[in-house]
Amino acid sequence: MNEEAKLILSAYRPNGEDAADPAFAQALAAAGNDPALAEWLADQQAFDRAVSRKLAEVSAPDTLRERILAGVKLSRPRRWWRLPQLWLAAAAVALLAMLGSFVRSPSKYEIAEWQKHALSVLDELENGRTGFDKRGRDSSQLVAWLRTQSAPAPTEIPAKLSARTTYGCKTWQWNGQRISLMCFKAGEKGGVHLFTTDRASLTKAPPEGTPAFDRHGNWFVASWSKDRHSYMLAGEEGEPMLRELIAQRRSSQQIAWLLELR
Amino acid sequence: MSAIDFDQLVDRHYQPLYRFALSLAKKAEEAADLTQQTFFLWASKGHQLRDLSKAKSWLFTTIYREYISTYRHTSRFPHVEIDEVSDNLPTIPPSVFNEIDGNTVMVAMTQVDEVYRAPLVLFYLDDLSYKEIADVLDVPIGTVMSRLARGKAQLRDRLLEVRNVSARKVVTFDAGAAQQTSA
Repeated sequence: MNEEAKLILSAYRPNGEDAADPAFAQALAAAGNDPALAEWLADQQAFDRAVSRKLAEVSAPDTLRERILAGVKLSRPRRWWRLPQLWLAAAAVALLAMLGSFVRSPSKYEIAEWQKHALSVLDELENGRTGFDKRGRDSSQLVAWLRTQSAPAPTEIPAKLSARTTYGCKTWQWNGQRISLMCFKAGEKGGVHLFTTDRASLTKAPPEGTPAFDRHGNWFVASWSKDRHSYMLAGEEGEPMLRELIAQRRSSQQIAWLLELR
Repeated sequence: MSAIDFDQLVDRHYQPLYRFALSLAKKAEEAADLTQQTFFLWASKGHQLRDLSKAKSWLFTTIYREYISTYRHTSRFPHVEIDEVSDNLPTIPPSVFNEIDGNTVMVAMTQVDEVYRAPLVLFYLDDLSYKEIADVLDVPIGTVMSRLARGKAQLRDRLLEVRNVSARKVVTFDAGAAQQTSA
């Protein structure tokens, strides 16, 4: 009986909130009639109270509350239909788009323009002004998720890169073109970041085969194209790290193939 | 739910959620990420919850599932049959708790087997009853009771070990702290 009572009383919270729960009534009554069990319960409750008190001393980082509130507000869909001035702006954009279609169709972008935009989103992500759409530590899971969103998903990730743990991914539209971003853990400065977009959206896509290297501010970038996608890998550690990560690109594993095995 | 209600929800639950996440993930950065992601999911989907009184259980269930799906690659907890509670619990003199701080208790908690740790931390957060813990972890009530009993026995052992180590050196909680103290 004592063993069963102890098992049940192990779930009895020390703050008394369970006092009225009939599931504990019999075990509590047993403790009232058995000094040894009563002593065990007193010791258990003292221990429980002490552990609860000590765990309550562990505090979240000072900035976490603000991070949560800011992150959710930024991610929350904007109720733009309630703002008449935005209706006007939307109408103007639609008109311009219609006029523009006579002059420039389809929309294509210079690679430098695309890179500048993509890196500005990365800066926002690093500064906490925007967040991941999907978190995960496995690149194949992120690729699978991007596919469910009909977003550009890498068909081939350099082997050394795909072996790394990921933070998460994000996808968005920019001037009618979808862009995807996957972030990997690497180096001392936070990681490296792989952008993917449709090759056809760029007026002059990066080269097939040998990647082109460039630098924008703090970001070192490597760009290349493969099949219908163009890629940009960005990191702050310098060009050698990028070269190292994409060195085995030709023999890299096929993500699609991996997914089929799952 | 209005923005003010959301702020209140965050104020009320983010600390215990963070502590629960910290006990699971063992790293402050990952615990913060899990907590933030859980509130993000609430903002995205929580409005579908009709009974706001169930928000607490929803948040703990969600953070636990996020941890399982994101940070943990092993299979789910094996089912543990109910059996007797050990009679040989190590004695923890009350003075022990005067010698150690909350971080040290958390370090000891992270060294409890994960199968017992999750219900144990939910129990000690004083926020969840055994029935709510069963809902969060999706296990039977009897299993919760069994895991609490065994988890407390392990915690007593780990506390004594950690206390002995911390008596020799300063224990700080975060990356690698658990490994440091168990080394």
